[in-house]
Amino acid sequence: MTAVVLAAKASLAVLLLAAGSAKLADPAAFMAAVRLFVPPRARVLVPAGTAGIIAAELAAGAASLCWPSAAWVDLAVLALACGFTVVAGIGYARYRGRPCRCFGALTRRSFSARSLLQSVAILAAAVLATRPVGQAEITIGLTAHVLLLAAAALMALAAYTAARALAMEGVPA
Amino acid sequence: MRIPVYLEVAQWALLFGLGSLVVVLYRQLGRLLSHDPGPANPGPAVGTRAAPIRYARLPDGAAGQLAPGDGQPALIAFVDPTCPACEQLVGSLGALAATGELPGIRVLLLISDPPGYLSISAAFQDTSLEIGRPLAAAEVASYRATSTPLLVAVDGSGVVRAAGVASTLTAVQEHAAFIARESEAAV
Repeated sequence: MTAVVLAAKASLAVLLLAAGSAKLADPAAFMAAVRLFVPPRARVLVPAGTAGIIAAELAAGAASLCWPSAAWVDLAVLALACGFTVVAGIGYARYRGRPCRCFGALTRRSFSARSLLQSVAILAAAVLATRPVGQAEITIGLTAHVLLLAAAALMALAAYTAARALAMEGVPA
Repeated sequence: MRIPVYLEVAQWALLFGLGSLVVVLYRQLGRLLSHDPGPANPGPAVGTRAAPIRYARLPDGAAGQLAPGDGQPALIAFVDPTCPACEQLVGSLGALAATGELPGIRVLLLISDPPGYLSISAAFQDTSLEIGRPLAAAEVASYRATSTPLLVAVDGSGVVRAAGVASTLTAVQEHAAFIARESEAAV
């Protein structure tokens, strides 16, 4: 069971890093998706909100990957997963077929039953990741922290580069 | 020395993550190499006759029609309220229309989204320009609006004089210049 919990934790961290970096590669497109969920009166907050979501994903992903023993990070990831599920639910109900840009230009997926199921699966993994595990299994040394941080940066850079290359294709009508 | 389970799991997660990115990029590369990427420049060919378009005017839903060749030049913009560059184009067209820089030129914004999507963008919600939703996809197919924003300049005789991606004031002015002389004469 410990391995399953830790796999959920590490997978979510990698997922968040990829999602945050891909959004960072094409923030204008993600901003357009965010606008779908913001009432007209509050549209002025969209750029700041977009930046906040991207920063939260990157920070939570990096912290979760590099500091596995920090319980508060698991709760932050769970909060993000709850937010994703709510957004996927509203998107499915009101904006079906519109691009969600959840992974920037890495996928062309739209709000659909499939995206809703995916977000529920992510939420389930986030709940699983909050289960306590033995300290011996997650306590790592300084070298491991640094190496994981470097791996997180490499992961983020790879996702950013891939999303940037795909975003150059343009906006399909 | 025993390696913590987390490190073993994390390295596999990273490996799968990076592997997935490689797959995504290779799929894209394969798509680009095996398929025709389509025209680099969307829009109808310059010199061809523009097709008439029937549309529902937004937000009231009243019937409208664009009839190229009726003597009035037109700037037709294919836009999407969720596309940032389209918002810029709507702003550019609105600014030029407000300052009288498009005399005698009919400006029509065409969107394919339901009327509710206008509220997504302040630029679309606040514009005084005419917005329409085409009633028949076949009528707009000849405009080859494969990407947005697409701006098409049609002269008074219904011939396409310029077409391409545009969003800035300068780009709109360049499109309008192809039909402006004729419209000024008409005014």
